[in-house]
This record gives sequence, C-alpha cells and structure tokens, in this order.
Amino acid sequence: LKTYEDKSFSLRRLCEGVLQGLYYAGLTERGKISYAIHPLLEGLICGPSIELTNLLNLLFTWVLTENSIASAAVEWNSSQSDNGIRHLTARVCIFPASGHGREICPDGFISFPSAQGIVDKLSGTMAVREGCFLDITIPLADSAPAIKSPIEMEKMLEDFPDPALCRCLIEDFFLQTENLLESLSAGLSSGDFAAVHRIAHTIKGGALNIHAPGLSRTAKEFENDAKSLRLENGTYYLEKLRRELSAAVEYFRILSKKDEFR
Amino acid sequence: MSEKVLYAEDEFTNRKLLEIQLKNIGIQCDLAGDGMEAVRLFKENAYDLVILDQFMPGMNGDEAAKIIRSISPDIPLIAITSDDGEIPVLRQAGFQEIFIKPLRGKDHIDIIKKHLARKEGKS
Repeated sequence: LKTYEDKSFSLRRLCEGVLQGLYYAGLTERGKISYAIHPLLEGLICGPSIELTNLLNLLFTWVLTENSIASAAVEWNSSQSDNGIRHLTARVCIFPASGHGREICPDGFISFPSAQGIVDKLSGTMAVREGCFLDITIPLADSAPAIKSPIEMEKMLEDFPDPALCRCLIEDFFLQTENLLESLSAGLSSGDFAAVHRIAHTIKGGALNIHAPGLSRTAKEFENDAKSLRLENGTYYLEKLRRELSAAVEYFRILSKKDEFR
Repeated sequence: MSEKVLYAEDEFTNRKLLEIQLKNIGIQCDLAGDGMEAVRLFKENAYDLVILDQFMPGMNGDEAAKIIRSISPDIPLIAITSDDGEIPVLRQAGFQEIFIKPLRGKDHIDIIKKHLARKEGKS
C-alpha cells in the first residue's frame, strides 16, 4: 500500500465493510462502528504509518473485546490472481463466548470490497450459528488499480484555487446531500420514480462539482435505474450513497484539520 | 448600471458556483430553485439574460424557456444540462446556448459575457 490516499481509503472501506458485516450479524452496534472507524482513520492519516495486518488485528480485537467473544484466529496469506493483481487474504475465525459448540459455517466466503456481499453472506447466518469465519481479500494498491479518495481535492483546488470557496462548496454539498438522502428514502418507500430520478440526478450533479467520483457514479447508476422505472436495487444504492457520503464527510473532516483548509 | 442575470437551478453547489463567478465579474444574479420560480421572477423583474437548468422539480428548463420566450422574444437564453441527449429539445425550446455540466474553467463565463455585450449593443 504505497500511497497515503490508497492506504487510508482502501483500509477505511475494509474496516467499514467488516464492521458493517459484524453489525448485521448482531456482533456489534451501529453506533460503535463509527466510534471504531474515526480513531482508526485519524491514526492512519494524521499519525505514523501502521502495517495493514496490525491494523486489522487491532480492529478485530476491538470488535471481539466489545462483544465478549472468547477467541479469534486470524491467518494472513498473500496470493496472486490470474490478472496479476496481488491480494492479501485474511481468514478470521470468530467464536462466541457462550460456551456452545463451535460450528464453522461452510459458506462463509466473503470477497472484499463488497460490503454488501458481507452483509448478504452474514445476515441471518452468524446470529443463529455458533461461530463463523470471514475470508477477506484485499487487492494491494501497488498492483491493483488505485482506489480514488472520496473527494479528489487536487482537482477541486485546480477548479477553485480559493480554499475558503472549496470548503464552502463541499460543506454545503454535504448538508444538502444529507437532506436529499432523506427525501430519496421517502421517494423510494412510496415508489415515486420521478422523485428518485430527480434527487439522484441532483446528487450526481453536486458530486461532480466537488469531484466526488464514488458518489457521482453511484448517483448516476441510481438515476439511470429510476429513469428506466427500476427501483429493485434502490435500497442498495441508497445505503451505498450513505456510506459514500459518510466516507467523504470523514475524509474532509480530517483534511480540514490541515492548515491550508483552516 | 450592471447587467442582471436570472439563474434557475435546483442543485445548490451549481447555483452557488455560478452565482460567485458572475458576481466576480460584476454581474448581478437572481437565483431561482426551480422553473416555476424562474418564470415568476422573470415576470416581476427585468433581466438581461436567463440561465436555466434543464432538469428541475415542478417545471423543467425547456418549459420555463418557452414561457419566458413568449414574454420576451429577444432575451438571451442559456440552458444547462448534464445530458447531451437533451440538446435537440433545448434548441427547440429557444435556447441560444447549451452548457453541459459540470461547468469547468471559464469558457461558459466568456459566453455569458458575449451575450450580455451583444444585448447591450442592441439596446
């Protein structure tokens, strides 16, 4: 993981995906997810560098301690796929402290970065079984395509060299998008294709302006679906937008501590 | 007296961006959040140029443009859209210029200035 941004954001997504999976599996609470991610992120960006494996070990230790899980084992391996991309894989076995038998689910395979995949696989599985394992695959940034940051600040500053204006636009976008996501949720619940189409379009436009590629891409996909009168993936897109917005807010919060954005 | 532009756009960052860019070159700018508000403001005030986003709640830019054009046949109209498939519809609605979002650089500002100068020359 060569660069600052690749490191922080592939790891952020990883942490978020794992914690979200564990939340859905009933092993942690939603509020604790951000509680765990914030200091981790801050440590990653502002503090000294940390080995990926150490970080994940810390993360799992935190989750397990919080939930009185008796034991966990993490095995690390690296592998190379046919297309030449190297991966770091981790198999995490988790056993509850209840003292019941330890059953390993045979279908516990999960491939990162699909947080939704983790949720799908674990939902309704881990909570009722006695134990489970997660297999996590992380493409390494020195061989995989670079993962973009939630906001491409270099491009933003190229367009708007005044940091105060940048800041103002980004913060206003966050505020507006939070409200729009609420309206989007309401539109989705009532099956209002036109409202979903329009709101997704608005989010896409704003995200393009502030150079938030993930948000604009997801909003565009959502917009296209609504335009074709398809909303069956609506909940997925809504959750994805929420996660991407939250990642962008967090990214900018940390970035704002730097002198040039004060 | 400085020129006055009406700009209708439902997306906040776009609105703010263009408003700041216009103010920076001394152009006064009234903002509307949708097509209906744009038509109302146009009826109540005098403008030198109107910029309309195409996709807005309530009334789209092309519908608002037709109403504005019927009131003031000579007013310069500029459309903003992220969908270039809309260009024929926008041309038919009477827009002289169509900007494709996102607006980067300063080309769009130069075009706005050009239309304002032309209008100034006529009056």
